[in-house]
Amino acid sequence: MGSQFPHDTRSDEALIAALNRGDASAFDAIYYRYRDWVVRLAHRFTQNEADALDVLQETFAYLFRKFPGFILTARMTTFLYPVVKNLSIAARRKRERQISDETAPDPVAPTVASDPAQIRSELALVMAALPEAQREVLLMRFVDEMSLAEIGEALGIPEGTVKSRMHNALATLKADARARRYFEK
Amino acid sequence: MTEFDPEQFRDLAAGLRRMHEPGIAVPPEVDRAILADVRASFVARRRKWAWAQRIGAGLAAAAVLAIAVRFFVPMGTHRPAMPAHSEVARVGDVNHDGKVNILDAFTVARAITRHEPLDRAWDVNGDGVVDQKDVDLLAHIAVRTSPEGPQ
Repeated sequence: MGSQFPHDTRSDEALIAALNRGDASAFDAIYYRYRDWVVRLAHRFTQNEADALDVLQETFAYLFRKFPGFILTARMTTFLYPVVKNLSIAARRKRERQISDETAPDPVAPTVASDPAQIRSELALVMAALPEAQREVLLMRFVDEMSLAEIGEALGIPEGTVKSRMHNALATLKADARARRYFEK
Repeated sequence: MTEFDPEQFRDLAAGLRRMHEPGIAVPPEVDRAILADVRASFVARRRKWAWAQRIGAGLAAAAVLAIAVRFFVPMGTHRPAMPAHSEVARVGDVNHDGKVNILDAFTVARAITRHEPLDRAWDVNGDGVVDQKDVDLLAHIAVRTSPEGPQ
């Protein structure tokens, strides 16, 4: 996680307790600790920089509205993931309503990168062909570094389902000649 | 090694991370705006939270007192006449329901919390300000002046 407060070694639980007590320095620490993670995830869903920054603001506004009195019962990323996802989907739908229906992509499925350089990437093409549910768990595991249990909790699905989607996604990638090199030792 | 360990799929994980590097540098002014915005709303909410806790504590104390008086003041105990009953009752009957009870204290407390206009008649303790002290006094009056006992 990016942080401009490398010296703040307080745990998330300690920061939340401090926020509940009104300690203003805890604001900044939590924000900078998770800012880059949130904006990266938001951009992955929205594929739009302005929307990603809006989602960043809305996400932290949502989080801080829960204080005082907030109790963190999971990892912060597990808590924030569905928040960022839902806000991002809303932002994309809003943007797509402003665009012609003929050019609007699927409003629900998060896309792979739209940057032309990335589109040309073979891995991007293979990922884009995966079912959205499989692509999502793969990215949550390997990009967002969430555990299988955290993925399940964030998506509201059993861990067994997470494993099944991971297994199927990896099997598809491994079977695709364009992505095989990523599995060669 | 955990199942689906990123270390086990190192090249794939690295490839996916490169694909999804945001390339977005959050401008410092965006950081400042977000932090200023949430801090301002947080301060306002903390104030309301503190008031809610004080009111809750005051009401709980009044309820405890009410229960204690009801159960521990023997029936028929002579209560000194309080000729000022009607006056105090008029002062205490904030919501004009003809009764002086804890609801009157709650009415004032809620108006304070919501920053609503405050009636000068609610300045029960006569210190020139309608505040928590008047709420506490109203709660006290409600317990002592009810002819049926605490309500």
